Amino acid sequence: MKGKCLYGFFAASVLLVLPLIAEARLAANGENLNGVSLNGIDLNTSQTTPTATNSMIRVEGGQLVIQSAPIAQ
Amino acid sequence: MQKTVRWWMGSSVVAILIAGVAYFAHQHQRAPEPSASFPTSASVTLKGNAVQGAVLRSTDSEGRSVKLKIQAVERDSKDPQGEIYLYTVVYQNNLNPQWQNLCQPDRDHRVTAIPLSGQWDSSGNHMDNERMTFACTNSALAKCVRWGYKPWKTVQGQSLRDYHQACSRMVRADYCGTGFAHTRDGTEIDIYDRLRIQKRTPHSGMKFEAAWSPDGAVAISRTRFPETLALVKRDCPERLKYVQGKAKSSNLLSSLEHDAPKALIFNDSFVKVSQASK
Repeated sequence: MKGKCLYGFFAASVLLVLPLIAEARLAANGENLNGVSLNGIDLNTSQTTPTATNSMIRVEGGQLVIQSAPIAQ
Repeated sequence: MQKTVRWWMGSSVVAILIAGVAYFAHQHQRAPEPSASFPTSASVTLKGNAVQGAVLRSTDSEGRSVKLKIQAVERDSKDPQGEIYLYTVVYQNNLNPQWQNLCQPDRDHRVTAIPLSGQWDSSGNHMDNERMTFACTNSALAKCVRWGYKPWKTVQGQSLRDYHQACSRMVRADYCGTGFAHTRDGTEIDIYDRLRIQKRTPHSGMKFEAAWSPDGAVAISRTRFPETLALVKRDCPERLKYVQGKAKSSNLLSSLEHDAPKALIFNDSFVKVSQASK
């Protein structure tokens, strides 16, 4: 009986936690940037090119802002 | 059988409650800074410390895929306004799967960067486009931000964008505004400006070097290193103006502001003896 209780617990947890993981992944994956220019040493920049577009990265004041696309619930 | 169903239902309710609490905790853990906002609408906006762990994908100048990761975020303790964030950024490319730090250590052994909007070309000119630049704290761009020339700010009705640009020319001793630096690591300088964000240090033992605009020096009294003088005479001789001789030390700044009206930033440096004459 203990085992069945555990299975039930897992089933319900997985159903609810999966969307959480998906959201966290999306939030942490600022793919498809506007573009990032790397500035490693002094002004010797290694410029980079933007790729597609469903998340946005921008600079507001002195901080980085990442805005993700709508999340499918 | 009925008992089994009851067990399933009971344990599911418990699991739902636990997952609900976990979700609530997750949402609140992800917004530790007042600036971090998580609208419940369709999109998610991350800022402040909330971008920690974010992985950004891009390509470098040669078209190679580059993955950047924001490994850590902290507020700059040297910024009295608390506006500057320092990011530890690591990268990974196709050539090397190991995460490597984007920056080199600065004088405080920090390996962090400040994000700035736009990018800089090889001549040192700022391009106001939709890209962004990670300026490492050992670079001229970040040093100028940390000295108070925050390009996103306006002080006394004047945008600091040009002050930041003039500062980046000054730090690198890019007299002619061509992107070519004429300084060396660890060289001390004293900076002051029209807005009094930085003030001249009295009795520093340094002497006036040059007055700076976003395009480079507008009046060069002398070069930071004597060896550079010949290059300046060759490349931009019109910028050599010995304005210091007209003023006493006490009213030097007023005199400089009058003599170099386009200058935003001024600097002093130690007089050095030419290597050739030693």
